[in-house]
Amino acid sequence: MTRRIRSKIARGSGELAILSLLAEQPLYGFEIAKQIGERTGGALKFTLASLYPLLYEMEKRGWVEGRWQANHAGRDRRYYRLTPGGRRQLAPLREEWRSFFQALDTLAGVSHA
Amino acid sequence: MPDWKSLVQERLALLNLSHDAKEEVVKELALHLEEICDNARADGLADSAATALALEEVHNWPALSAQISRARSKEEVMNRATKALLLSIAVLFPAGLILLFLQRAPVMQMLIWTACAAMLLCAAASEANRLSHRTRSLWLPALATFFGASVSLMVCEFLGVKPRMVWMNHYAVGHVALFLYWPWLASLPLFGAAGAHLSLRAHGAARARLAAGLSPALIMLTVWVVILPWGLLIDGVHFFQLVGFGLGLVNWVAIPGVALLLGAAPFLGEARPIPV
Repeated sequence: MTRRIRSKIARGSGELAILSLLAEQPLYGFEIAKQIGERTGGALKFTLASLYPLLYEMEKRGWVEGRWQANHAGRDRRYYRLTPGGRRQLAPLREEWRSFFQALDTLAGVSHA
Repeated sequence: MPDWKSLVQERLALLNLSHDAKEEVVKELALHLEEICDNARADGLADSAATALALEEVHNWPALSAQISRARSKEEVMNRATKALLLSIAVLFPAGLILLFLQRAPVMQMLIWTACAAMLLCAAASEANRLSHRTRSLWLPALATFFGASVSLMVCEFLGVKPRMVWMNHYAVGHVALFLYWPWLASLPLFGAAGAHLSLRAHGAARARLAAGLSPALIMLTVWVVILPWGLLIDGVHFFQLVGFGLGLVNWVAIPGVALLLGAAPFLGEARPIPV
C-alpha cells in the first residue's frame, strides 16, 4: 500500500509534478489533481487549496499559461499548458530533485528503505 | 446541491483582486468543486456526502483567499514595477555609453551608472522568485558583474586616475602602448568573485559561474569583435590596425579577464548544496 506523503514534502515537489504532467498535455485543475493522485498511487494528493495557489504562482512566473476552453464534455474549463519558459525549468528542477534524493539516500538510505 | 459559484464567491469574499480576475478565480474553483461532487455522486455517494467531500478540499477559506490574492494580484504590481525599472535602464544605459564615448559630463556618467546598477538590483530583488533558472544563475550575476566593473571604472575616471602606459617596441609599427588602470584592475577580482558567487547561490553550473564572473571581459570581447570588421571596412586593412586591435584585446579583454578570473576561481569548483 502506498503511504500518503505529508503535505510539506508534497508541496515542495508540486512544481515538478505539475510541470511534468503539463509537459505531456494541457490539463485543467481538476485533471491535474486527479492525475497526480492516480499516477502516484495516492501518495501525492493535491487539494483545491494546495493546487490553485501553486498554479497561479507558476502562471505568474510565466511557467504555465491558463486559457478557457471546452473540455471533452463540452463544459468550459481553464486549461493550463506549459510555456517555453516552463519547459526550460523542467531539466534544472529534475536535476535539483535528483541531487536532493542522492544526498538524502547517502544520508538515510532512502532508496532501499 | 449547493450553488457552487455563490458558495465560493461568498467564502472568497476577502479575495483582493480586480472584478474580472475575481470572477475568473471564483468560476474556476466553483467548477473544480462541482466536478469533485459530480464524480463522487457518480461513484454512488449521496448528495450530502458528495457535497461534504468537495468541501473537504478547503479547510481555511480566508487563508486560501490570501494565498490566491498574493499569487495573482502581486503579478500586476510587481510586473509593472519591474517593467518601469527595466525601461529606465534601457533609456539610461545607452545615454551613459554615449557620454562615455564622447568623454563628457563625468559626474552625470557616474550618476547614470550608479542609478542603472541600483535599478537592476531592485528589479532582480523584486523578481528573484519567478525568474528562470538561467536568468538567476547566469544573466543577472553577469549583469551585476558588468555594472560593478563599469561603475568601478567610472569611479577611477571621476577621481582622475590616469592609466599607466606600458610601452612596447614592435619592429613593424614602432612603439605601441598598453593603457593600464591599475586601481580598476585591482578591483576586478572582487567583481569576478561577486558574479561567480551570485551564480553559485542560484545553483548555477560551473560554466554559468565562469561566464558570470568573466562577463565584463566577455562583453568587451564581443564589442571588440564587432568593432574590428567596421574599422577594417571604413579604413581598409592595415597592419597597424590589426596591432591596435590586438592591443585592445589585451587591454580590455585579456588582462581584465585574468583579474576577474582570479576572483571567480574559488567559486568554480564546488556545487552549492541544495538548501533544505
